[in-house]
Amino acid sequence: MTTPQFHSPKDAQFHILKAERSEGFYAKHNMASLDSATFNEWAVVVLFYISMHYIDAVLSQDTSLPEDLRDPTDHPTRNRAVSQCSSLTSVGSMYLNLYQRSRDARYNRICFPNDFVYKLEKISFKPVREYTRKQLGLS
Amino acid sequence: MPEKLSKKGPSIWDEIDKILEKEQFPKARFPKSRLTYHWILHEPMPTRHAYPTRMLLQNWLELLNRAREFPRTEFYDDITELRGEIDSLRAAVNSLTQELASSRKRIDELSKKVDVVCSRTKTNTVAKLCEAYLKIVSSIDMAKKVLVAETMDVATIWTIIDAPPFEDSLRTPICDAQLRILSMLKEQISLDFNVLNVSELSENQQPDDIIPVNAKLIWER
Repeated sequence: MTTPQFHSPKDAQFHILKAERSEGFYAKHNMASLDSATFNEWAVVVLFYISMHYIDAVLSQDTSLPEDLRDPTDHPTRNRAVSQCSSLTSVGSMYLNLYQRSRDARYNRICFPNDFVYKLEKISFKPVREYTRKQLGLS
Repeated sequence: MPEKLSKKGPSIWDEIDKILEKEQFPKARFPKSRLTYHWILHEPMPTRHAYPTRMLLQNWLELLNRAREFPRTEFYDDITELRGEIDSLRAAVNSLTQELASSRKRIDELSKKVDVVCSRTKTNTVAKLCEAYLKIVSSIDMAKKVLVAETMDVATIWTIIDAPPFEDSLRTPICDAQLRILSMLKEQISLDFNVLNVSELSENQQPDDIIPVNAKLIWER
């Protein structure tokens, strides 16, 4: 296994590599099939994390945004950036839902039902992933 | 060396008497050697009548005293000058320390005033954003309560909804409302949102178990 070479400073390529690496983790551990008995909350967290890096990649290329929004360092700033990035308007609410669900998974002691990961993938994750990858010129 | 001499100064007469009596003039009480005498006193050998009296030894003592005072007189100006410089530097340091303390006090006072103004501005901004958010969510049936929890770093708006559990597509209007509010935010204020669906809680859980204790209710259906 080769060690990925991440870019510095963090640019679109850095975030794309992080997102794709996390997707590899998600697929390798077959996380879509996790249920509540096998800790499916972590699948929710990984889905959010992948989305976050695709979102960051798009934000980093939006020169109309102020510097702090192009390279957000916390979630509230990133959410604000999403709301003000014209190229993310169509997936903003889906991303916010993934953000909310990752918080439920980590902090709010919400127990997700068995089919939840599949539903979240379909309703929020896939639209964000496909849209942002298209924006980034990826297949 | 001068200090040593100074300490032993009071007993020097005894020492001189002892040396002269026992070693130089043990018997005749006259110096046996002119050279020895000369070596001690740096003076020509006195005549018999001038045998070492206290007066002659007084000369020797004066010589010793001069030797003892030698370093002090030789370096007096330098030491005085250095001491003067040290004193003036010390005074300058004291003055600067006082100025620094005064400035620090002033900075603290101004900082408190700035904090108060920022806090007021932040509170006003958050209040306006909450008002705008309430206008939107109050028209969404599933929204039941809105609370605000503020910390030094972030203000979090909690929206309590009652909707079919884990049907996330139903939450879209709430997320859209949040995006709308975030897009209005121009200041460097950290605003966060949290949504809690009461129908997703387990039987033994209450919303109060999850919502921060400092959250204030700002709207209820």
